[in-house]
Amino acid sequence: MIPILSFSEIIELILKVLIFPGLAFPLLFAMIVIWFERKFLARIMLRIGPLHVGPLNRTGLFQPIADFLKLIQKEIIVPDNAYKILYNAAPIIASIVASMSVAFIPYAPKPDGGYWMIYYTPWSLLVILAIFTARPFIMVGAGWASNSKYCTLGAIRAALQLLAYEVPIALSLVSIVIMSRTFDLAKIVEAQSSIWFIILQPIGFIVILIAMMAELSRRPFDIPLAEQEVVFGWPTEYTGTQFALVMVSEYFDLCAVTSLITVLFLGGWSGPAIPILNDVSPILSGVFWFLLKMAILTVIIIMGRGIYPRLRIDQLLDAGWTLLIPLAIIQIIITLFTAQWWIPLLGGV
Amino acid sequence: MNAAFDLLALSLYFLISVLTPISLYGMGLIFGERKPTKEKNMPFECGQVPIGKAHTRVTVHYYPYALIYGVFAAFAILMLVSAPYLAEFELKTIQFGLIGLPLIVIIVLSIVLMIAAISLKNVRLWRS
Repeated sequence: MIPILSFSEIIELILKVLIFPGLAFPLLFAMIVIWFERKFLARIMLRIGPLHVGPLNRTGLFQPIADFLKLIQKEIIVPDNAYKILYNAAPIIASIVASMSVAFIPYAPKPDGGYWMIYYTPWSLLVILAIFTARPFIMVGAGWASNSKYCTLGAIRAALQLLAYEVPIALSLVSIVIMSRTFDLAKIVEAQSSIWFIILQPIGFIVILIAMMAELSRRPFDIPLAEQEVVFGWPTEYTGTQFALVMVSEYFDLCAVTSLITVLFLGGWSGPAIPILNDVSPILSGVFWFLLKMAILTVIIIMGRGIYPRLRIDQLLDAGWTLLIPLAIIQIIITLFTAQWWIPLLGGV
Repeated sequence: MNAAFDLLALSLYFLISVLTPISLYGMGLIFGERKPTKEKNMPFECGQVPIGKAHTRVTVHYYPYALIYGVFAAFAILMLVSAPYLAEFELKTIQFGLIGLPLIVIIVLSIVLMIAAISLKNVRLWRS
C-alpha cells in the first residue's frame, strides 16, 4: 500500500531529499568550506592560496572540484596486511553516518505548522547524540584495520580524545533541555523566539563550541591527525577516492555540528523576515538566517587552525576533564537555580 | 500521512546517502590505475621496512581516564533523562515552599563529580 502523493508533495520530497537539507547541501557546504578554509588560512599566513582554477580571476574558486577529479583518477592502494573488508568499508560507513545527522535538524518553519526537515521526531536531540557517539568506533575500526603503526597510534589518540569530549557535550546539552523541557530540536528553536540560549547560557555555549572543535579534530585539538607526529593519524593509509570520502565525511560532520549549535544556542531560523525572500517563499527567510549563523560559526571554528598551536595529548585530556566538565556542571547548577525566572519568558513551550 | 511522508523522505535520503559513497568508491575503482607493487603495498612508514607488530599498546597513564569515563557517562545519561522534569520540579517546590530531595541529590552529586574531575589531574600525576 503506497500512499498516493500530490504534485506539491512530490516537489517537496525532491527538494528535501536532493537539494536543501538533503544531498546537495552538505556536498556544496563541504566544497565551499574546503575552498574558503584554504583561501582564508592563506590570507592569515600572508600567502595567496588557490589561484588559477575557476571562473573569477585569481580566486581559485573551483579548486575543490579539480582536487576531487584528480583524487578519482588516483590508485586505491590497499596495504597487504590490512584487514581488507573493514579497511574498504570504513570510509563509506563514515560518510554515511556523517550525512545521516543532517536529516534530523529542523532548518525552517513551514507555513502549515510543520518544519522543513527530512524526518521529524520528538527525540531528535537524542538521535543526533547517538549518531555523534558512533564516530569514534569508525575511527578506531579504520585505524585498526589499516594494520600500520601510525594508523594505530592515531586511532588510539582519536578514541581518547573523542571519549573525553563527549561527556562535556552531553552535560551542556542537559542545561538546554532543563530550560526548554523537551528533546525536540524544533521545539528548542521555538523556545528561543524571544531570547536566544547563548544569552542565558554563555558558559554552556563556550563549552559546547570547544568540545565540538575537539570532536571534529580541528586545529588546537587535531592530535589524532597531527601531521608532524603521526603522519595523518587513522586515515594515513587511505588514498584516492577513499581519502576523498574521509575528507568529505569530516566536512559533513562540520556541517552537522554548526547546524546543531545554531539550533541549540543561536535561535535556529529566528530573525527578522526579509521581504524579498518572503515573496518567493516564506521558508527562504528562515533558511537565510540559519545559513548566516552557520557561516559565522564555521568561520570561528576554521579560524582556530590559523591562530592556535596544537596541544599535547595530556594537556588536551586535562583540559577536557578538569576544565570543561566542571564548567558544564556549573552551568547546570546555575540553570537549575535560575530557570524559574527565565522559563516564563521563553516562547513556544 | 505526515509520519508516512517523513518516513518516505528519510528512507529515500538514507538510500541516496548509501549509494553516493559507494558509487564514488566504484568510480575510484574504475578510473584509478591499478599497478600494485610490493613496496607500494607495504604499511606507510616513511620508506622503512616495518619491524614488529603494528598494533601497539596504550600506556597505563591513561587508564584512570578510561575508568572514570564510565562514571561520568552514567552521570550524563542520568542528567539527560531527568532534565525535562527538573525545571518543572523546581517550579513546583518553590510554589509549595519546600526544597525537593531529588534536586538536592542531583546538586550534591554534580558538585562531588565536579571535584572528582578537577582532582583527576593530580591522581594521574601521583600515579606517575
